[in-house]
Amino acid sequence: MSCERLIATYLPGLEIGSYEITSPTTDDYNCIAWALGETQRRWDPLGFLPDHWPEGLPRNDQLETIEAALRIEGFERCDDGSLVEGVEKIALFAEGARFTHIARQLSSGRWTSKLGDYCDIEHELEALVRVQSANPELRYGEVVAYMQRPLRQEPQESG
Amino acid sequence: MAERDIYKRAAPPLNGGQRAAAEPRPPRTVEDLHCEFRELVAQWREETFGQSLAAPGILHPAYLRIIGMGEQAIPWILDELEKSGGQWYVALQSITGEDPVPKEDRGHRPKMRAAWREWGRCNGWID
Repeated sequence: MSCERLIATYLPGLEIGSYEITSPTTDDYNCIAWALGETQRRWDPLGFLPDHWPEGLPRNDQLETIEAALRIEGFERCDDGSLVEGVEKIALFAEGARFTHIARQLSSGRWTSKLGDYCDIEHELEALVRVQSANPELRYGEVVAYMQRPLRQEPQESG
Repeated sequence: MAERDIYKRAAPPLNGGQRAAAEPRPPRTVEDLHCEFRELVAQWREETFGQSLAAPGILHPAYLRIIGMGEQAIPWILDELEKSGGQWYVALQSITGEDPVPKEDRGHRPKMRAAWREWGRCNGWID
């Protein structure tokens, strides 16, 4: 099942030519892991699968829970997604208080996202906002928070 | 008396009082089930595209139907896991009651796939 076709069907904000697929399809990591630069394990708070989640944090998909995990990794809230040298930024998507997705800013100012169990893409952030998907279950909602941390090392630009 | 009136008002039974025999369902072949399995996998992959967390996929009706297929589906799931990956671990655990993934390898997908592949071989489900 090609990633291009699924993107065209379910993420219509990503117009052909406006994004690039930057990794093969893999389920080895998910968007939270990818936002943190990890490709060897998935981060998942819900515990259906034995995926990584920091001990002591709640097991739910509430935005505040995801933020708490990201704070452990050195991220703090910031005002916007503007490009700042020496700073790594991420954008958190949510529907209401329910977390849906994270994208990470690249050194170019564009953003990178891992699409579920499929591929990584490089894209404009707005292309994932208020997705009008053919699948009503696939809604990333709005960017509800930006977070940043000092750029410790050059994060992976592609998986 | 009142009870008898109720009986009189009731709709007459079908077949003049004889119970309608249920149409016997034709037995499904392994090929039928395998075909259904492939359709369910395609539906599941399509309808869970882009989901960031595993839960919606595991609670998806197609995924639950595959669990409902029971042991028949084990070799097909193992094959699917090997060829295309996917979050099949809950299905395999639910059907088999086992979890061959060592604690230290949990969360590491290549090692989880390898552990289930080895379990499948040792238990005669795959070659």
